[in-house]
Amino acid sequence: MKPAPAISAMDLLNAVPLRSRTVRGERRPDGGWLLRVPLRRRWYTRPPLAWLMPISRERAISLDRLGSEVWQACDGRRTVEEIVDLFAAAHDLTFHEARLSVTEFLRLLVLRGLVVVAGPPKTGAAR
Amino acid sequence: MTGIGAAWGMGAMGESRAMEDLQTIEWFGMRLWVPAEWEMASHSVRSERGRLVFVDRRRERLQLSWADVRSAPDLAQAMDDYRRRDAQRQPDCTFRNLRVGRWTGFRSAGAGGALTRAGLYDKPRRLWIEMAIAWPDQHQAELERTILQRFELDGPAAATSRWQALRLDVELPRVWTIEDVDARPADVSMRFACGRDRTIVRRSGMLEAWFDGNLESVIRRSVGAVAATLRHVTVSSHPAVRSDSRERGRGLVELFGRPRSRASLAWVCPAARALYQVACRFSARRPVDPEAIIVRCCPEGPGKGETP
Repeated sequence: MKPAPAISAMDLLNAVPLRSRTVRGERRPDGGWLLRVPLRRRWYTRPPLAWLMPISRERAISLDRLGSEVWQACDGRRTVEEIVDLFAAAHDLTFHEARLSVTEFLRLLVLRGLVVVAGPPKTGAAR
Repeated sequence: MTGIGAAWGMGAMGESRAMEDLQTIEWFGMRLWVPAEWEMASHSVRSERGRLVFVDRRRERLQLSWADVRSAPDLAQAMDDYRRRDAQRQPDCTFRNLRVGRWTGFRSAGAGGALTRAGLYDKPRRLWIEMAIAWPDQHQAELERTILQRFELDGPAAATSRWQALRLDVELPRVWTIEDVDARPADVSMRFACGRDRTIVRRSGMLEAWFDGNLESVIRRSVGAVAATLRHVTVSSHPAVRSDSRERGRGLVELFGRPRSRASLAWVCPAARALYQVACRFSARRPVDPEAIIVRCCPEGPGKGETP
């Protein structure tokens, strides 16, 4: 299969991250979130093997306060650029300092199935 | 309007906003003013040849490069070469000569936007400096003139050197040369060298994420296992903790070697919402006082440490 073309930095700023609907979250007292992501059901997670081995059906991921801020900002309306702006303003960072931190964290969220990122519209006029 | 033009509200309004919000950058005795939104994305720590690159949110906007040259270069020839090269790349572009202050150059305009190229030769420092400014959306004449006109160069006899970039502002005697700059999100440090002596100035932000308010523990962590004496001082009207310690050498080094000392200083600037550290490592025969190194963290004070 041909690899998907890499997303440019400009497209990434215009992209809109959205929290996965399958993820359940609960707020922790320290301001962080505990997220539970359902795991894909494989043959070995079904009975009868599942009767013999305790196999978890979900994975728990803990976010600290900073991670939770980004996670909560992924509401399907804000673009990555707007989330970066929010994070920069909240922590007195420059745009590119916040961009590095936020985009790297978003990449991890996407890899763990917590967030999906919708690309900018084809017209290019994203904002 | 889309892209950076929309983000800045281009046109007259965007230009006036960029003009009001200028930041000062000082590097190797060169002082320039650029819009606060332009961040330094690349830097060189070599005085003989190097460059600084500034980017806005999306694109590279300004490149300042310098080279130590033995004789005065042919400025007109250099600009002609650039002009020819730019014309080859973009055959439809038009050129206009430019002379602002000490700068000589040209502005090219084409479908991809405008580009300002200018160069100057500083005879006292034998330094050839070039500046390239990209105008991807709309050329901002006033900003262009301000950047070029306000550019300044320290003379070769300046007693101190100031390094103002990446939200750090450090001034120290000229004998200290910059050795390394480590710029990570919310954590920037500059390392200076003077012979075998080293000084590191560090700014750490995002305090609410990691700092518990205990300066002593921060300074103990930075000093490591070495036994240190701590005392409380004031830096720029901020309470600071200072540690002085002496490194132990191994075996014969301890006996016959040159003992090394360390002096560190740490304080929190509430206005900058950051923790600053100055750490000096030096020969015990020639002590270095970290409080004598000027670190401007906020406009409140001159940055010079004063022991109460």
